[in-house]
Amino acid sequence: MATSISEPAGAVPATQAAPGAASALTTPGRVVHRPIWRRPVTWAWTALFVVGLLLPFLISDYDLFKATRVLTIAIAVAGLNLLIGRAGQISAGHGALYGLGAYTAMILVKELDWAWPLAVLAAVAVSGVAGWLIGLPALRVRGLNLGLLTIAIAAVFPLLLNRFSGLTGGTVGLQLAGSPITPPESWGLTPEQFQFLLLVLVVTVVLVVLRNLSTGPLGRSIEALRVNPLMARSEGVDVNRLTLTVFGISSAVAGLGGALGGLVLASTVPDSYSMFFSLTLLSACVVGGSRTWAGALLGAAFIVYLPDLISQQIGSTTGGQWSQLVYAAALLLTLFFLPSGVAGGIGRLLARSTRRPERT
Amino acid sequence: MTEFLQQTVSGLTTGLVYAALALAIALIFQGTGTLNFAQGEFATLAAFVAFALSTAGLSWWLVVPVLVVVAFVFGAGVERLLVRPVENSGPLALLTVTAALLLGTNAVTALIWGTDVRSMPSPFGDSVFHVGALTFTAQALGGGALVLVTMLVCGAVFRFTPLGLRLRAVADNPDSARLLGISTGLMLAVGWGIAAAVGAIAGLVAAPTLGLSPELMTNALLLALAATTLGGFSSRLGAVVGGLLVGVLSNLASRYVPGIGGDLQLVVPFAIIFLVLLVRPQGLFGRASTVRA
Repeated sequence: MATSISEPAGAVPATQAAPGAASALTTPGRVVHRPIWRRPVTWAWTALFVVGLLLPFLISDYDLFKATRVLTIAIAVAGLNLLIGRAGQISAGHGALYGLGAYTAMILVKELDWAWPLAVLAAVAVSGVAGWLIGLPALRVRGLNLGLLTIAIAAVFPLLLNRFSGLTGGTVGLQLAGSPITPPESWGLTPEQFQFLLLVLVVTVVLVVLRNLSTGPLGRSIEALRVNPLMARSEGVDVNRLTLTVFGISSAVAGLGGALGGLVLASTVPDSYSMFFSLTLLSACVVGGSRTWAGALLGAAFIVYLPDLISQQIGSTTGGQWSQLVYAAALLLTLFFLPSGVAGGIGRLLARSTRRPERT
Repeated sequence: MTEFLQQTVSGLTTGLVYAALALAIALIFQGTGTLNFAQGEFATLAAFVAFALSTAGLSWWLVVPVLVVVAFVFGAGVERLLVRPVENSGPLALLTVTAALLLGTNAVTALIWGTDVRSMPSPFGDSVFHVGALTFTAQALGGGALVLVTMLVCGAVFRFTPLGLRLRAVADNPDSARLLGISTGLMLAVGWGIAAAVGAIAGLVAAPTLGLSPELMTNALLLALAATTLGGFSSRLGAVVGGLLVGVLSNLASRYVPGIGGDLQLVVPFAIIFLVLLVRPQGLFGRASTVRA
């Protein structure tokens, strides 16, 4: 056993690599190089994107509002996917970074009258820098330090919000009269429709950027980092700097989700960003499938819709606790039986069914 | 001066609780190589079980041993059933399992006993003692003594018994231990059991002063993590010393540093974690690990 809180580097790779190898779509050796328009995955995403663009005109504004929330959470979970699934580092504090994004954007819009797009960009920058600062001590020694520090952040964040009530509004939080994200008059869209469409575009951009990051040269370094840090170092990868970069990017993405989530809701309260929210994001990431980008959407939908479903079934007094219990159970079951998550499992099934004809 | 001493003493008594929880965390880290995020929730659950046992009419003389046995079985059972399946899946999966255990245990506690804060009677009565100008409550003295005895017994088991030798062997070098015929799996389960039992005592001692609720140990977990970081994750003694230091430091800070009162006391453990990782990542008593590159 390693002393201090670091793992011997050799302990990481063996089974950490397994879920990756399992999701055939991402395994370099097995990728079939087909032109882009003949890849089923591209088609599935394109179809999903088109559905996303049509959805606002098919369902009610209330349902859209929920779906928008799914998308804001999905952004944060996608950031977590980059960190956990690709770089093999953990964060038990992404809820706090999401909250930091939400609060930054809300304060800028409410107190300083910034235009919302600027506020969102500023929130992204603030969260990214915060993540970078958090990572600084944690990554001096590799291992579980990031887990240690991030759960501490998750626990302290709501208290800080309550403490600096002059800036954050304390326990009641910050509220706006309405969401500042509204469509131009002439477009003829309701705010909910506009917000959902905006989020569809943002999620698309985020997913494409993250995907390209994780498949390009940087992605190969990240892959090396996860599989074997020592090997990565000997190949000339500055392991600490890369991990810090990835954690910073992941935090900035979480902040983006939070900023949009906060502004759409037009309200932020400290209780929304407790340690349990951070752990819920973690379960969304793992249950959805930390190595698949579709997993971010599935995981986010899971943690947004589940509490509603449960409250409908058994009433709202203990609904929160029952959902928490279900998150825990889903997390354990996924880890035991479906290490690549729900999306990863589906991907593997699809890959198997599409590959068989080619073999015969 | 008297107030300073009084603050230090009360810091030491709360520090004992963090020390016990930190010891539990260090035990699991040494055995399994993961932080157990759920250690605080296990302790909370134990405190509720103790509360239920005592309201059912059991005397405290019986509650304590029953609690220790139940907690041991619970901890060992959790290791066998829920941790074992991911034992070889790397630190990430292990840590995620403990996060799931935190969520799950907290939910179960809240579902069974509700989220209201209850007052739990002190097992040691309500009397107050004066020594010179200092004041001690029976709860602080009795609780402190109980935690101290628990830690001494735990230390003795590790130091002087064949079981302790095996536990240490598995913690130090699982592969060699296996070659020597030690059942590493069994030892891991025993380690989780001991950790849960030590944590249960921490929960039992903390509940009468902090008020019994599912949130009982949420803050204590952070303080205990700080204690373990400060003392060094590889050292059992370090965890205990770290716990006492964290207790005293956060108590003194909340009294003497302007602006750090009440809830914001939690900034102290956070600052400790941050600074220790920056300056001396192996902690006060830990050994630095070197990985041959």
